[in-house]
Amino acid sequence: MWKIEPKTFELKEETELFRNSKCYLKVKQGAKVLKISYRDRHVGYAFKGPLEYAVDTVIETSQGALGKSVKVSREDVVLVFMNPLPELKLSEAEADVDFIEEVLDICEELAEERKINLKALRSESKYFTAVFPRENYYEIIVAKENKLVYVSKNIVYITAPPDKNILVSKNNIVVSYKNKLLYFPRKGLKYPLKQVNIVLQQLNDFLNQLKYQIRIE
Amino acid sequence: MITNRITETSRFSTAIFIYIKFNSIIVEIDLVRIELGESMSEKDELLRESLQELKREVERLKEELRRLKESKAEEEEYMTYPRKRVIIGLDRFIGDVIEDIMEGIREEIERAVFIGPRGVVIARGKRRRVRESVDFNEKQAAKLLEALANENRLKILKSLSRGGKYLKELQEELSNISAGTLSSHLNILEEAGLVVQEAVRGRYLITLPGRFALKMVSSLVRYLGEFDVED
Repeated sequence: MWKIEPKTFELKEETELFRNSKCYLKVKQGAKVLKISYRDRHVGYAFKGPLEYAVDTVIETSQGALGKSVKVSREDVVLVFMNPLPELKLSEAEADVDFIEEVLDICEELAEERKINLKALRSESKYFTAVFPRENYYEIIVAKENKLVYVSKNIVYITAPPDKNILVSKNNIVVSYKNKLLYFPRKGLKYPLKQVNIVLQQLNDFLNQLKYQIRIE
Repeated sequence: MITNRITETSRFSTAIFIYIKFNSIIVEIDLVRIELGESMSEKDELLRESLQELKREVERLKEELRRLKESKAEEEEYMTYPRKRVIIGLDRFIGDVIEDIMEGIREEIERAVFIGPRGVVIARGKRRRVRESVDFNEKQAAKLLEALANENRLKILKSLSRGGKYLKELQEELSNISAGTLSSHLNILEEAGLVVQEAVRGRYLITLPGRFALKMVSSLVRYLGEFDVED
């Protein structure tokens, strides 16, 4: 089902693949590029080389900001699935068989573990997914206009600006909805569950859209 | 789903009612205790006045609860026709009412704290002594205080407490600080966790601890001013 074009390309100029108010991804000149197809449809690219990305997992509230910014600029590997696909300025390069095999393995694993939405790859709607393979886990960015889901080792961040945010970090769970802020230390809830439920109910529609579910147990 | 929401609302109203009733009983007990003549001093007189005030507030909250019950009954009647918009509206309404009531109760509790001969006494329920914990990491505390111990950095925090700002906006507002110095101050504040910079838009935001630290500084300055015996 997955197919990687056997030709390896090289990116001729720096290209910004995605940007919204919370994240961006740029791939720099000289990066190796592979074309990825799913069910005979070109759905994305794999890049290996210099790239830069940033994600603001910061929740701004009237009581102050919570969270941190992630900014990375280094040689890295990223698989990007998006619609519409950008026009890249490419030149042919020497075939990198190891990279092709690595990307194929990653694609199969992503599909098997349902880390990416295969349905979206076949649809005509706009989407953007970037997957950074890490040791033992994947760092994933899913974005649609200003909505963003960022999943890393110790962070899950979901935002729908201007007023819906969820941040699950190593120590805390933060939910903000309009001017309401709920902050729970992960070791135990200290806030009335009734208030939590009211806000979580209001977030339901949004979470369902993104196929995420938060349960307070 | 609607039935669940109505049940939740009823349970919440009951909980608030029990809370108010409980406070009301405590106020009554405290008043009786004072009237029985437990060391009638000026301080007790003050305490009595405050408790009377608290009693009036409890009455006001009772009235508010009655109004809430009435409006809830109206909402329930309206909700027999399942309409999504109404459900969301009700949640928001309940949320706002909870916030108002809780804020009212919190203010009352804060007002009902007295400093007496036996230390801090909270005028509700079981009286107990409150001992502040002084257990902290000195090195960490010194680093934090170092970040705060600069007039310009405090000005930056005050400015950011009014909303997130880009470097250019901060430069315009704090024109007496040079661009280089401003960046260096921002770095120090960022390292101390009092400020965070967005990587994508570049805005600077005051963090939750930053705002808290600013409030602490403000309270401390005010507190020291009250105890100033020089004048």
